[in-house]
Amino acid sequence: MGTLRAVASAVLTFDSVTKRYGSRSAVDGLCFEVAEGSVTGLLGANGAGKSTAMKMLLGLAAPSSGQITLFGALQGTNAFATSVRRTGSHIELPALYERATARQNVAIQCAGFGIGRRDPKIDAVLETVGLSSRSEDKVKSFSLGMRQRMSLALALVHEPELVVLDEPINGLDPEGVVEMRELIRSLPARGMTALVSSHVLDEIERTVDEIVIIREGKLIAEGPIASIITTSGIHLRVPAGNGEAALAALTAAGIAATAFDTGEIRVDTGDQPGSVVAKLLADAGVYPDELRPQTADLESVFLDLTSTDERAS
Amino acid sequence: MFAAEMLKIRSMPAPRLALIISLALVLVAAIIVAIVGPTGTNASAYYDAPATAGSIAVSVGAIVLGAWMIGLEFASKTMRLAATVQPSRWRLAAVKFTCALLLILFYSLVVLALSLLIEALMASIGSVSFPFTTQLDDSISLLLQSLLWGAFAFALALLFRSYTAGLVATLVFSLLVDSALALIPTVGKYSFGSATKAIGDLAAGGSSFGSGAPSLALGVALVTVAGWLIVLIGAGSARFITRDLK
Repeated sequence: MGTLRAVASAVLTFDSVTKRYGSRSAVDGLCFEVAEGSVTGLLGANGAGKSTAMKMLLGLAAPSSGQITLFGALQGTNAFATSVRRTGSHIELPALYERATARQNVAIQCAGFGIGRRDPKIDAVLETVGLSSRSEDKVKSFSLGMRQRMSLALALVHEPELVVLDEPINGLDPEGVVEMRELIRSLPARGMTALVSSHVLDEIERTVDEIVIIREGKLIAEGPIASIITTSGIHLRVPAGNGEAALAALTAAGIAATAFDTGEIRVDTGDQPGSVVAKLLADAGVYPDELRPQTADLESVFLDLTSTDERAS
Repeated sequence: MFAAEMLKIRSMPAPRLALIISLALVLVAAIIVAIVGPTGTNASAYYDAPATAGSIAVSVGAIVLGAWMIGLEFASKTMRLAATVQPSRWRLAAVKFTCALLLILFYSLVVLALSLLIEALMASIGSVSFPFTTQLDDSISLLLQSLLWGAFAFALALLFRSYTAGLVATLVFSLLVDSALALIPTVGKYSFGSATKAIGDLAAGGSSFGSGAPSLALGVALVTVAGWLIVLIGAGSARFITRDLK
């Protein structure tokens, strides 16, 4: 079970949400919030529970326990159903009517929201996702990248307040990835909040403001991306055979440290300056070959956090 | 939501194809009998052949369209899209059920009306008298039966969450299971097909297709059909509403 980090004006809240399939928990006591106007990345390996979490917030799957609040409405209430209509989503593979044209697909989605089939929003959204020249073609002739764009058009056309995108850059070419990034980044300026999952951590790092990292359905880390990347502490490399002594000295001083098979040690210095670590090691007779501030990217933080979690578990 | 379902019907090829194939069957039967001519002294074949083709087409077409209206979303994996547009699942199922009935009604009316026209034309070509009232009664009976079988197919597609499974299960049920049930003494007349036919016949004046007296009184037949549909649609809806969507 996690605890909620207070977020000003959250549009979405997961509070100790668990989803079980038989004896297996796809989501396990998950707690996080998505702030209004933010772009939040939901990260996790395959099977971590990202898609399940997204399906639950859209009312497509019911949680086994815990509470989901969407625009202030609790899951399971009539108000929640109304709130779901304030979202736009793309979950897993694009869900499209293959034998209908791109325009017809968008028009069908629009009709569900009371938007007429000749409304200029249809042309506008097809233009936005770069499919205006193929609007009269049947979707069955589209490539995966074009289907991704179509799915995004369906998610955006009714101007939702929360956009939920699961792996939105799958199948996109490099140009498409850049366009998608710019589009997602532009959503807050259009009054939308976005929750985006992706395996491409480098892309997520460039796209989102906040991240939520989950593993095996559990929350591992949550917060502004800048703070998560810079709270990595110090990176050490000690001579062979000194790892145990270094760890013992740091642990005895109450400083969290993790040793890796490569001889590297990651030290979470907290509020303490790096000089304290250097002195502790020297007092223990350990002289590091390398001592530098951790300048991690999201990928290394993600791998580090998940591998640390593996050790703990 | 209703507008979206209507737009799906207009945008997808399946309803148009069902209509075109059905009308083509009626036309082909008429053309064949016009070229070959009736066998022996059976002059009524001039209008019976297209009428039979029309009745088979409407019977199968109604089942196809009933299963298609809900099965489309499962087949194209768009149910999650539909369920975020209309998050109230029971309302979503109700709208789709209503649209399925309207679609089958429109399709059956068009095919049966054009079939009647072609039958009358063929009768004049063969210089035989055309029993318009009898053929109209048959068409009314068929229209009601196609609506009820379409609802049955909708219920099975909803229950199995699959267009193909719903379609195949309904066809197998109507051709094999229901026929076998109808053979059981005493209770056979309460099979879905028997009760449906009784309703159609009674609504058409009690003597359509030369089938003699209906096996059930109208009230009993209505209750029987309602019972079958309530159980099947209830089970399908319960599964649809309570289970997670993929």
